Amino acid sequence: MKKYILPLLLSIVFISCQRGRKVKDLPAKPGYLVINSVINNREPMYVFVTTSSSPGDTTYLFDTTVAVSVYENGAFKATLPFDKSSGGYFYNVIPTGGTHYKIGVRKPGSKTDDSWTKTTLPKPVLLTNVSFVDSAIFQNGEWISEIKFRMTDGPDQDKYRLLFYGYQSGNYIPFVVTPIDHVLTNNSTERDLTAMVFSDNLLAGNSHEFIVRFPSGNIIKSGPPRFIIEMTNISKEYDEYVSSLGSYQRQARNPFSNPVSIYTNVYNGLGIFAGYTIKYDTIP
Amino acid sequence: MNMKKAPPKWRSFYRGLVGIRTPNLLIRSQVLYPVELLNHFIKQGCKYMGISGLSKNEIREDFWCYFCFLKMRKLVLAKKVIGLLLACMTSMSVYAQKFHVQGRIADAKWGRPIAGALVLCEKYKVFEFADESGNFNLLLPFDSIKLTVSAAGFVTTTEAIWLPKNLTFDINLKPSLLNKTQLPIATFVSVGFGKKYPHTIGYTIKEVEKLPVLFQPDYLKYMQTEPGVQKGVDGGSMPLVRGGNNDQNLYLMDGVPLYNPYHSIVYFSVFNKNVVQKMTLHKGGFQSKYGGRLSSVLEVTTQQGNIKQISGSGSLALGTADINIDGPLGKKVTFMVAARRSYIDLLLKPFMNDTGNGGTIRYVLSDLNANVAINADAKNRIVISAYSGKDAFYVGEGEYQPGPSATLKLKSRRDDIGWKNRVVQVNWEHKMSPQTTANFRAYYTGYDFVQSRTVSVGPATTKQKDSVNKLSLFSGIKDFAALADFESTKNSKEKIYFGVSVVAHAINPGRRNNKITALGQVKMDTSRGFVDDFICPEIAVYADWHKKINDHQKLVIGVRPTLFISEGKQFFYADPHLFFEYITPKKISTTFTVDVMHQPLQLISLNDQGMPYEAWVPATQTFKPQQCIQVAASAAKDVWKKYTASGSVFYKDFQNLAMLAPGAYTAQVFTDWSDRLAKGIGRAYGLEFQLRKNEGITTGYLSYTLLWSERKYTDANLQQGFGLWEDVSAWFPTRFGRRHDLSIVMQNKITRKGMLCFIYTISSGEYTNVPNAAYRMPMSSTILNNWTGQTVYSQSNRNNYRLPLYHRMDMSWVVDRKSQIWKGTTMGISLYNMFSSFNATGVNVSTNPNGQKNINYSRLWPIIPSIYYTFRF
Repeated sequence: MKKYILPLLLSIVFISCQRGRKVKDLPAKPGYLVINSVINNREPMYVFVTTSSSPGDTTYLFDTTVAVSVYENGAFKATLPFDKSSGGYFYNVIPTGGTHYKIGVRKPGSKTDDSWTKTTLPKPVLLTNVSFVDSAIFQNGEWISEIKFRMTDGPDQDKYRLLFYGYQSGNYIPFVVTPIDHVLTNNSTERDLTAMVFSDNLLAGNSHEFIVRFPSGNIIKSGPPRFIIEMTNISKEYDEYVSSLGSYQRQARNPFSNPVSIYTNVYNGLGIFAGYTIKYDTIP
Repeated sequence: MNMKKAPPKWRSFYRGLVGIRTPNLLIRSQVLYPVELLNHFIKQGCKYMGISGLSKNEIREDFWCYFCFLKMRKLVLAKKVIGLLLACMTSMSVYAQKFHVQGRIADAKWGRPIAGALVLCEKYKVFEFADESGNFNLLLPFDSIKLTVSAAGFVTTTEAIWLPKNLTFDINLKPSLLNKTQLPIATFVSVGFGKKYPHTIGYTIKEVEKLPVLFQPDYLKYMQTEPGVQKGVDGGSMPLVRGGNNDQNLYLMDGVPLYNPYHSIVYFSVFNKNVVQKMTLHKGGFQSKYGGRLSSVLEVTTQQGNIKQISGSGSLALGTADINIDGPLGKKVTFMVAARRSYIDLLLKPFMNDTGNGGTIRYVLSDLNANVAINADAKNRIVISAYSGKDAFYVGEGEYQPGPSATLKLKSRRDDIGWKNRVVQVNWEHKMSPQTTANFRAYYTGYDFVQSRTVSVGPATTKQKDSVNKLSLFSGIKDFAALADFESTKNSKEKIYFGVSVVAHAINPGRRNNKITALGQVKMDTSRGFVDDFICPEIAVYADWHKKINDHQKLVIGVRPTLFISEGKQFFYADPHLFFEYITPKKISTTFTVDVMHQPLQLISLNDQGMPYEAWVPATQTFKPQQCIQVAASAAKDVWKKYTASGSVFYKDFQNLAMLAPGAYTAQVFTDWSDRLAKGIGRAYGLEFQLRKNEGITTGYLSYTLLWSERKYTDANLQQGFGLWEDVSAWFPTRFGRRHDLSIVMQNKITRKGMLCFIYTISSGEYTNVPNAAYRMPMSSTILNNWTGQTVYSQSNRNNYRLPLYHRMDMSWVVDRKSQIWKGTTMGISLYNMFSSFNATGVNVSTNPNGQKNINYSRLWPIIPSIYYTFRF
């Protein structure tokens, strides 16, 4: 009986707050072209085009009637065909780092692009002096291994993502490392289970040696240790998009927050066109 | 001959001639008659003039001798001539002199000082407001003077004095209890030559509890009915002044800043009604003494202990109870202690379950005010005061019932959120000379916000907790300050206020701390973000020059140069102030003010409504101190005998604003906080009007504000990218910038002890954010996010939708009674939003399981009844 009293009290106080009143005049502007395409240097490009709807509507159909054009470094390359299996417009070319891409979308009957967006795929980073020292030090009762490598920060770069894979049972599996150098420890803004995302604030365009450590026992040695270092060079647009998306997700769960807008770089429309470049290096 | 034994008939004759009663404030031996009388007698005829052969000092001591008829007959002509010259010279020299009239105004019943009491000399149009200790200091010429002393809640007293030399005396005012000729909520504190300054609002407090309340009396809520002051979220205490933001208000409790003066998010202020003696809000025409905020200065003066006997009061309101005790500690020392606490948690405690299956919710707010005043002597007074207030809310999940499995299991989880203010101050008031008083202060003020989650894990089969993991998010600010303020009276027309303040701000915008306590293992403690505080020194000097040009014009010029250091960068800026008042021949008091203010600290807020997901941050190399230039003009006049009409127009220009970027979110603020801000500018302009009825059985006022308040992003990096492309750089309204805002406050003394009060508010709806469009995320999963295919909303710009009209009627019925137990009691019954108007505070967009779209308004407060009871002992 007792446990019902608190909900009952709260219900009495706030019961009328739940009573809604229909809104009649929302400033909705449906009908914007939405262009979404995230590209990288390992897969061909897909461009998804939809049309925005009124808030609350749940029907979103891929727009198959528009003309999607691709430009590389300012030159027209192709008008993309629609791929029914993926629901997007397919460009059977793998993007390359350092290339400037532009996508234009034209509605039926239009003579010029109604919406367009552009991005530059970052150049892949170069990893040098990659080394691995098995059981380099003995700490807190266990042996610690160490991986070192050197990387040079690009002039227009902002964010990087670093991930390590260890070879186990015939597969490369991501594993957790402990960063030692100050760039990773002081400048890492996000971290999921295995990957570290860090900004280049402390690199400032210079070359830097990264050091990470991990318990030697974490790697099951079925032969000589084998590792893959995955360093992803993230474009500024993609970084903005992802961080605003994270904010959007958090505010969506918080009733007290002002709404957060998701980053878009689509002119006269919505969506994102951005990319990242992945660079792998192996040990040995 | 002892001239003080002159025949009483001459005294009577003299008094009748002058038409002024014998002063009751002065010691007889100090009485001298004014020079006008001397001149009068000279003009009336020298035959009545006589020289007594008294010395100049004797003449000064008692002017009776000049009119002693018997004495005059014995004088020779030569002596008459010499005496006449001597008298003229003496009188001329005396007439040219100015004397200080100073003293202390106190409550006649309890002996407590009355801060903000007005001492007015109509004849010379000189006035002064008593300071926090009730002290005043007027400079007046040698003359017969009428001083009118008034303070809201007290009977106005007029005292006549004759001024022979510097005088020091105390004035005791009798409390007025529901005097039908006095407006219970009082009124403008600032009075210019008997008129009002519309840019200043003052409450002297005790009678405010007669007004309708939401749960309990709150002065900040009542201020929202005044012109130029608008409400924030419905039912909240936050005052928004002339289009400014919440963090642009400087809240001062006895001169010490409070960085978050709210309880229960923003629904109550920390100012306990039993503690506050006076509250004054400055919307413009700022004194140079105050700096660091753009929009307003709210001065709160707390009550000090009475010198006569132990007394106190207590009250029980819906949700909180409070008590305060004050009295003497010896002949020269007084004390005051007041405490307030919510009691909902105590009532609900039997229904909570901390140990078994089930959850626990607990919320506590508390305040503790204390001060000790030491009246060392006539020239020295020391006040030591302290304040502590906190909010603590937690949701706990108790242990799970033991199960058969031996695997680890979540044993308990607890989420805490809380914030607190701490203030300690030592204040030494020292009268250096009759012309100069000094006030030396040192204080500490701190504000902390903490959010944490504690999780314990252990074997399911036992109560043992193998490890406890506590993750805390922290932000806060601390100020250590030393100040010296001086007030120097040059003459009756000139006064100078000057001083210096040195403040060290220790700011922590965000720190995350993770403590893991594992059984039998080493404890782990990791901190991220600002592990150390961010130290920002601030040094300021100021001077205000008050010049009374003539009986119709007054000028105040002031400046406050400030040096603020942040991240090794020095910011130097000056806040100039100009105030000019002109009384027209038709007795309309007009003022013109120009204020330039800078604000080196600002609040990063998750939203604009004052939730505690906030962090104070300093100016940086990227974001300079914010600036506001305000120009205002006002006029006020007494009309129709019992009414006062006043109005103002103003324009405010904001520069260097640091606003939350469109794609930013601030529930956690760490070292990257500056990345979440964007540069911007702002503007606010409008007009205010008020018609106030001050006397009669029915009193009250009508206030109206017309306001435009807008902001704009100017950051080049934001010219594209967030929301719909074309609207990012457009002007957008502030969330609570209500275009029209009308309030009517009415108080009716229905019976001898009962009062019926109403507040009616009607205003434009607040702005909110409504999505313009919905679309889906990219369908393919990529690195850094896997939120593919989800529906998201986008909007054109901030605050793009105005909610419907807001209107609300509140009512209260308050009765004062005498009791056999208590010295007096007050019982109040209130209805907040008595017609339960649907005042929307937001728009919800949702889709039900059938795919139907629902777009509804939501609101916070329906009709809320409240009751409270106050007793005094």
